Amino acid sequence: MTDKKPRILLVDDEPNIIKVVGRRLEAEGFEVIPAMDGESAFEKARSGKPDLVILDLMLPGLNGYEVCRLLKAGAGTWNIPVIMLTARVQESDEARGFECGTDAYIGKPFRARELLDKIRQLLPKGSTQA
Amino acid sequence: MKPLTFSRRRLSWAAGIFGVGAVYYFLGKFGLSLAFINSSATAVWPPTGFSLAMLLIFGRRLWPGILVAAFWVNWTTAGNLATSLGIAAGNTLEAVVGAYLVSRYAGGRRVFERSQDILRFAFLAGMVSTAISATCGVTALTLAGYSEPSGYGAVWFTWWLGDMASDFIVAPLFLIWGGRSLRRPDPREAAEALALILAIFAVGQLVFGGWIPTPRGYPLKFLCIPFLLWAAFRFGPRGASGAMLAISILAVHGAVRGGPFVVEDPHYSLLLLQGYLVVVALAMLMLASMIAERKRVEKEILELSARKGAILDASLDCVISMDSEGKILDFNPAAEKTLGYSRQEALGRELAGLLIPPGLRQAHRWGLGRYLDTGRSEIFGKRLEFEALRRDGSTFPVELVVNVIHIDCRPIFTGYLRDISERKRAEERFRLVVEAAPMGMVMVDREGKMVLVNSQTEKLFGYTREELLGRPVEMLVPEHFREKHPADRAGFFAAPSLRAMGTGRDLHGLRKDGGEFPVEIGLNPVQTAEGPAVMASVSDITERKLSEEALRVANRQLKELVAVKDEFVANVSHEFRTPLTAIREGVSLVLDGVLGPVTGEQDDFLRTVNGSVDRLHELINNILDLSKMEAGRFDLVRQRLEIRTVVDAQLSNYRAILGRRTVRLHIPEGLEVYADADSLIKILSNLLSNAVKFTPEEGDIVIRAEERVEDRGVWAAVTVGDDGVGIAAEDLPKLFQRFSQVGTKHAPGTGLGLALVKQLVERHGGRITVDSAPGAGSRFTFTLPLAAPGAPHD
Repeated sequence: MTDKKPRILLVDDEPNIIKVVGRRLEAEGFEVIPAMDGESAFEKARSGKPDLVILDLMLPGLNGYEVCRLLKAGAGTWNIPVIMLTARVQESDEARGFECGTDAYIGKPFRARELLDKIRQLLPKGSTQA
Repeated sequence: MKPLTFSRRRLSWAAGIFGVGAVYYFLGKFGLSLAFINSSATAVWPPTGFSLAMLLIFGRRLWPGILVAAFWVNWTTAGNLATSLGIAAGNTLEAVVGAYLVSRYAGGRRVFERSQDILRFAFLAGMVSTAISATCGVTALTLAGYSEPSGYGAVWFTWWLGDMASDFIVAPLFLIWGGRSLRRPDPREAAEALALILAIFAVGQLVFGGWIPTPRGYPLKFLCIPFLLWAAFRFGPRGASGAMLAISILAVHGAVRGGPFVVEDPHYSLLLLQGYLVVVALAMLMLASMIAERKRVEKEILELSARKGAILDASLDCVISMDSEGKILDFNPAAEKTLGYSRQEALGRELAGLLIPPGLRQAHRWGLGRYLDTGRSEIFGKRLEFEALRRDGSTFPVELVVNVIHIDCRPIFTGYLRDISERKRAEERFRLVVEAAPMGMVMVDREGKMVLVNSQTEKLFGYTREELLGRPVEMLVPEHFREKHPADRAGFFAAPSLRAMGTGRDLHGLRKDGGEFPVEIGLNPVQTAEGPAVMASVSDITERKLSEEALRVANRQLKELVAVKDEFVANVSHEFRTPLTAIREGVSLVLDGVLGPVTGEQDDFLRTVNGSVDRLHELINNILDLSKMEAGRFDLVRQRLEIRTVVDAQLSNYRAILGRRTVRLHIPEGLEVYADADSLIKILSNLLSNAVKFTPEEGDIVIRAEERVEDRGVWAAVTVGDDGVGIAAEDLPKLFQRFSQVGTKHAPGTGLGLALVKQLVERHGGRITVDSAPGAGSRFTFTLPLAAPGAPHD
């Protein structure tokens, strides 16, 4: 299935972020699965098996940390790369993020290049759109 | 040494014996030559007095000399061995017993210095010891047949009187003249002595020498008395004994050839002569010694009064004596000076009228009268304080002690009086100072009684002065502390020193209304006329306690506020980030052509929007950093950092906004600092962003790094320079304050960057300086610790 677009689960409670980041990701050739709260994010990750998850931390219901923990503990989800993309930029927040098993941590506001570099770095080789 | 000492004593003893014996022998021969009834009976027997004097002066151990000499005199004169031995034994015993009795009971060799001793001498030596000699001698003569038993009494009596006369005439001569050394007489005394000697000789010859033929029994012999008195009065014991000797010699000599005592019966004549000599000699000795005694006492009294006068004259206190009528007897120079009267003026005047203010005079007279009537008074020997009156009518405070002595049952009062005006003034000053003190002042004596309080104390505790004075200070101490207080007080008096009371304890005072209030108490030992006391200064610290409490509350509130602010800042910065992300990503999407082609002008405006978003982002970051730093929640993680590497990384981030500006780097390879990476990045990015802002589109930015030697050691100095508009001198000091952007009409900044940079540099111990002038660009230089060469990389 090398012709298939890599799928990215984009989790953020802010619709504007979903909108602009989603559009950028689509423009870069990714399929975007949006989610706006923790529970639905976790559900979509389990059912949809995305190639990567971009995860905000401040979410209604389960927060980003908890979602990350669940994913990294789940049988079918533990190997999905996670990038935390958050407005929480304190060192302690970042440290906590890595404790929860995230693969990358990017503070808002970020540059598109930074995020895309990180995505390509984390995506499994086969799923990368050239 | 001992044998030598012994033999020397032996030698002097032997010499003494020989000398005494020799003199005794010649005196005996001389005495016998004066005998006129039989060869052994003389009016005066000189050896008796001589031997007594010698044994008194040199000790009784010389008795053998006397024994031998006496024997020899008699043996060579008349009689046989037995009589000579008997007489000699009597003479010797007489001398030894006489010397013993006089030494024991009559003052020894100084017998003639006191009239009582002379009376004892007259009895013990003159009458008792001489009886031994008379008894031995006359008995021996009678037994040997040289004397008729019927005449025993008469001969014994003559013998006895002759020895007695010798003790009264010859012994004094040696004892008196051999006593203290003679003073060299002045010419007038010498002339008088000569006149006396001539007069004695003349009258002696006149009376006893038969110059004027007079009928028998005519009492011419009393003519001697005035001259003997002259000698006694003017020349003392020495004169009296000398004159007496002269009269005696003349009398005895005269009697041998006739004279006033010669009557039909030779025994009777002898008796008259002896009686005369004995009585006169004794009288003269007594008289002379009494005169000498009186002179001695007079001298002592004179000395005593001179000494007393000197003490009174030198006394700083006024010393005034008063008799029982209240009249002044004595008035010393200090009294003259203090009271204004001369001694002459004061003596004999009534003390009360002169020195006591009118209001007190009656009390004084009443007290004196009562003492005279009843012998009772409370004032003697006590320290009293009164007012005294000066000559000029002014009064002044005095301290006074009075004592009384009785002479012939008449009291004499002496007052010792001191002007204490100065002390009173000092006390008054002290009182005024205490009164004016802004804190409560309480003076407490050893027993804990309050002896002085000021008006502030009245205010603090709500008592009046009258309610406090004389009462125990514990009445001002709250109940729960009262029990310990007396022990603490005793502790203070045991080691009095300036100190704060109850350091570290919360002290309270007790008001009259029962209320308590917090106090601070200082203790200060003071010496008063009544003994040691303590001055306690009491401050009401209610206000201070309240303000301390208020300060504590305010502090806590402030801390809470700061925490709230930090929380707020963190939240705000977080809340800003999400919309900022949306803006930038949205704009970037357009700019990147994702949404379709972009015209040149659109591109330009969208880039401007993104530039503003970047500054806003920077502002949020700086606010957050500053807030963290002020809250102390900004930890430095120091490590070795190569400056060049860090600068290059930063420049790559800034590539986009640098535009056509040139960046020149002068950074040596391998120059490392020991610093927190995040801090260094923040410092560089802020300075760089400033430099970009203030440098024209085609200007130059210079980044230079070097080692710099300062007084604090070697540092790494990094300079970021631009050739922008520069900064006016008056704006330089404000540069590093928050929100104090200067001269930035052209290019806006956050106003927090330099404040943050300064804090970050100083957190590392470094400094930041700026060198700038309008039109000449700006050069910011900061220093950071140089990494030690060879230290391991992190």
